[in-house]
Amino acid sequence: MLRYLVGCAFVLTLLAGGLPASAEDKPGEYHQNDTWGFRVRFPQKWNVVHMSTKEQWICAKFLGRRELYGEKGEGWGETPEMWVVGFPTARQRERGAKRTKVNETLSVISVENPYRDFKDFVKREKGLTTEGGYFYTKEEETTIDDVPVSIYEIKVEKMVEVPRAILTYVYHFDDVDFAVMFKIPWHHYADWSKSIETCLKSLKAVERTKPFPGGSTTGSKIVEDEDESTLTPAERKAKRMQKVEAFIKDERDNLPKDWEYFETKRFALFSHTDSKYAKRVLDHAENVFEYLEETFPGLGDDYVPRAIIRVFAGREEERAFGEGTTSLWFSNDDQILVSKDNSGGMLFEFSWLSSRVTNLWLRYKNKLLADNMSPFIRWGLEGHMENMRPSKRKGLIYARDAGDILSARQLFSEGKAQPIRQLFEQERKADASGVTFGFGQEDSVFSWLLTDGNRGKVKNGVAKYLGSLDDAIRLEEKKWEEEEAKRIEEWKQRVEKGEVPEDDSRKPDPEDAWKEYERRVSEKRDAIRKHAFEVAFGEVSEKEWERLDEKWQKWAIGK
Amino acid sequence: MRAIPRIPVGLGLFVLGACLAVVGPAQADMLSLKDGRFITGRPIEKGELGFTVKYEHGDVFVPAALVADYYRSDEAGEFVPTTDEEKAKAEEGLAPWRDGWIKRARRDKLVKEQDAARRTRMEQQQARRKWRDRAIVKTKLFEFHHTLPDDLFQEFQDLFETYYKVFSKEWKIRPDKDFGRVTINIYHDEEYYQQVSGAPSGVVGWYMPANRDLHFFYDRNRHRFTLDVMFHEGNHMLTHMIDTRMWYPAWLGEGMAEYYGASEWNAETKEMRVGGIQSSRLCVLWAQVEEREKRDKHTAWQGLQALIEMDRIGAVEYSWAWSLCHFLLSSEQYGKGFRKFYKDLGTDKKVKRVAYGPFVTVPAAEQIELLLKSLKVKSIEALEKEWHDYIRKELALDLVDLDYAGAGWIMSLYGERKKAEEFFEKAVAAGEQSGYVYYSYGKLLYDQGQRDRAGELIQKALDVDPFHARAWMTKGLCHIRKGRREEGLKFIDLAMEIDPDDTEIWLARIWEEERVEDGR
Repeated sequence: MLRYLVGCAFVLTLLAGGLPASAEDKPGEYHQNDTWGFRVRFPQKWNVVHMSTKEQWICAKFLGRRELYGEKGEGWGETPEMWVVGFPTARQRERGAKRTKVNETLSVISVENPYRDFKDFVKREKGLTTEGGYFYTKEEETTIDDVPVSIYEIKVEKMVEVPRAILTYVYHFDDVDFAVMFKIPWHHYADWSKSIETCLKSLKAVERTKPFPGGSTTGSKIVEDEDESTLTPAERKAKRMQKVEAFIKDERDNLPKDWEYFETKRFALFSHTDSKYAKRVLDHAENVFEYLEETFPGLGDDYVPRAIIRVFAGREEERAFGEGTTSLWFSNDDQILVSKDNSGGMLFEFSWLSSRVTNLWLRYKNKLLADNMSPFIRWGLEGHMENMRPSKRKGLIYARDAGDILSARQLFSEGKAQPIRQLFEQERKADASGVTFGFGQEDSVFSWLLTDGNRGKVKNGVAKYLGSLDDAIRLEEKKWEEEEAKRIEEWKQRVEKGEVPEDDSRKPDPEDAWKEYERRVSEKRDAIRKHAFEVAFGEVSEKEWERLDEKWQKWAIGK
Repeated sequence: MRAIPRIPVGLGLFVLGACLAVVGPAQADMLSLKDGRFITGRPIEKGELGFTVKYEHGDVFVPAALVADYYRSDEAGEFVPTTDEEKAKAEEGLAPWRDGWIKRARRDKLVKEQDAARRTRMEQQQARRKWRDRAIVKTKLFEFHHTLPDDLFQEFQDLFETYYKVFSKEWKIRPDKDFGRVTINIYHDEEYYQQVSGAPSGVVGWYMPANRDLHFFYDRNRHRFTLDVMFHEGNHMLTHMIDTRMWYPAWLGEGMAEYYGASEWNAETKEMRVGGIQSSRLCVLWAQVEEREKRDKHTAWQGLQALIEMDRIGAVEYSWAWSLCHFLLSSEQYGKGFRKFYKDLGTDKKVKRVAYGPFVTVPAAEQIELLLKSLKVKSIEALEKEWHDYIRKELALDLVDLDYAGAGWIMSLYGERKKAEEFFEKAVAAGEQSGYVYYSYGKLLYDQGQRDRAGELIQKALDVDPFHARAWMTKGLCHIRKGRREEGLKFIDLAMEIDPDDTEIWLARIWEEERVEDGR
């Protein structure tokens, strides 16, 4: 929970390198967007960010050339940005909750809550726009070339390292509002105001060649329209393939000229950097996929659709692309975003790529298993994969991070490490002081069992465990469904006999019912884990586990 | 900083919606409520007992007792005689004014001027709700920035000045001249507080030592809660004055903040009294003990050493930390020693401190050593036992004077429905008359099928807060359940008019349509 913000702790004194801090970027060329129907000037040499076809509100983004800092050089450095956001009037007609009947037994209820206007957008997308506490320092109305325009000046002052200015001109056309928005550290605002104003005043409507992109909404479906588990494997494959391939085609058709496309059977890669790096990324993704198929054979039969990988020239560009009204970084959208960025070490990007490919592979290969895995298993597997590095000779090698060794040493010195057996057998629990068992241990245990520890009685133990976990989950699911059906039938019979009043009187307490449900789920999970563990490691004795723990600990701390 | 768990949408809190801030067309009718809200953009009729705001799907009656001021665009100021005396006077060209009679034309002019002044005043109050037009009040110690009406603000200013006097006297603190004024930022509602202060959801107040900035909001539904937060955050501010370099450990900083958070405040006499019961925290503590005792009796109670060693604490540990401070400060045996410990931790040069970012703090082992020494206790285990015994004996729920409304609130947040119901019932029985309690309790009962009692409580909620959109929604649902479908749907539609942005109300409407189609 957030307590104080130790704001001072995050203050760094940095010198702005390169150009003098106050030197503004003069207005440059026009950018035209025929889909949305506008053209606007942006500052010279700023980068035009390629927008995802899934983005339905932000029409354009432009990134500044360099980072700017606070008045005394403080802050982490912020790249100024310019956005154009569109608010089609027609979308407001779809505001509200809607019900669509799918069949006799299934309806979809969706909540369509489109942004009303620019101010509503800022409020609801605070994480994207202001990123801190803000207020309007100015609100004015004017006209530009006979088009009514609202001018908003926002100051972002609290919960930020460096105060920020957001200046926006909102053009009100008949069928759409366009908000042209600049974000810049407050300290630089005055120096840049002329250029900013020139760009802000430059928007013109042009003829639209297509309908406005996307649908109406930022809403969420209350009831999913289709449950994949009701489809046959062949139907699932067809559906997944159709969805992904259509998306890839759409993306290719809208790919800017300075981007390249590469593909394999398993991946579609869009690159905004050099071909050599793009191919390295593609090769690594393929190697990771191959490793998973070989190491965990038969873990699932389902079709894994092609994943989309986007390679950006730098992190700022990646961030600008990923941050939109539909966040792309952690959604289950099958897009993996990486960049050619050496600042955190090249390997960071490949670690990220490895873990995302793993996540995707598991999710599609065996959704039931993925959904029912304990966090220990999931994080252990993904954590291990993050340390799988590209290798020229072998394709993929395991290379432990020095930081992992240090973390392990700290874990042991604080007495927070758990025996391996306990980690597999138990749900993650916390003791009275809040210490969570095994936290930070997962990837170390998994990695050891898949590398140096992969011998003797625990050889292939992880694969066996996952396999038996899958079996156990399916068995328990079936039992669960039968038990639920029986309970519902018994309840109905009691209602028919008049043993339970139907309405307007005290119903079974939902709180008790929920607690009972939680207890049964917990019991079910314990049963699954126990069964899986017995199948995979049943032959290992207590004494042997003690020896294995010792070996693992030595390995973990780098001995 | 005061932390509460994240609040799921469905648990009885509602979002203040479209009643606020937008000034309607020129000369529009306007109501200024005593709780700080403005109602505008709808026709308003004035009656003997109050005002009626006209919506498309129904009328909302606002008792005069809830209204601070009003402006009606159609009040031309012309006098229309109704009694015989007035009619007689009217024939003489006179109209009533205050306690006498004046020329009619003059009276009409005075009424127009009065009306215009009222409108200006209301518009100024409303404009102040924008941060750029906020009120700034400077005193010797504080600089207040706020968006409240003046009469609401005054109580908070008085409270801070009193709080400083009481705290500085008790702890003998005097901030050095470089400390400067603390900026206290007070917002008219939670939504605006989150927007301007940047506080994440779930954080209801905060103090930033680095720039001496304190933030909280006025909760018009829960006045006591607002005071609680003020006392809590104010404590962090005042503790900071003990030694500006010192970062108090989590258990102590938050424990003391919660201790002071339960202070009683009399706005009329401007007096405060410390040492009250933190009802919501106490309920959480006991709920946790009950829950844990089912699983493992030995780990059900919070360990003292473990609490002291925690670098950061969550909402549940706040409860334990408060109870520990309450125990130590209430104890004749330990009170003096604990006070010394609290002060020495920040000021005694002999105490070992380590760097903590730009601050310094005392490592856990040193804290324990100093604490035991100050209290003259042999072991931490012995102290822990006494603490737990104190909770069992002195802080049992059936023994203390609980704020049942607060207890009900926290239990509903934690999803403990039975307990929430029990506490809300006690709050109502004890005479609690807040819209929040009536609505929350009514909604709980509605969800469990007790529609009659739910309906009564929801109506009470609307009596004290006629613009409670979700209460209108729930009233509508109660009507529908009783077979009065059309009327019920109208209430839901009215709720949507009052708060057009509340998606819960949209969903309620669409679910009702679904039920009809499905024949339920």
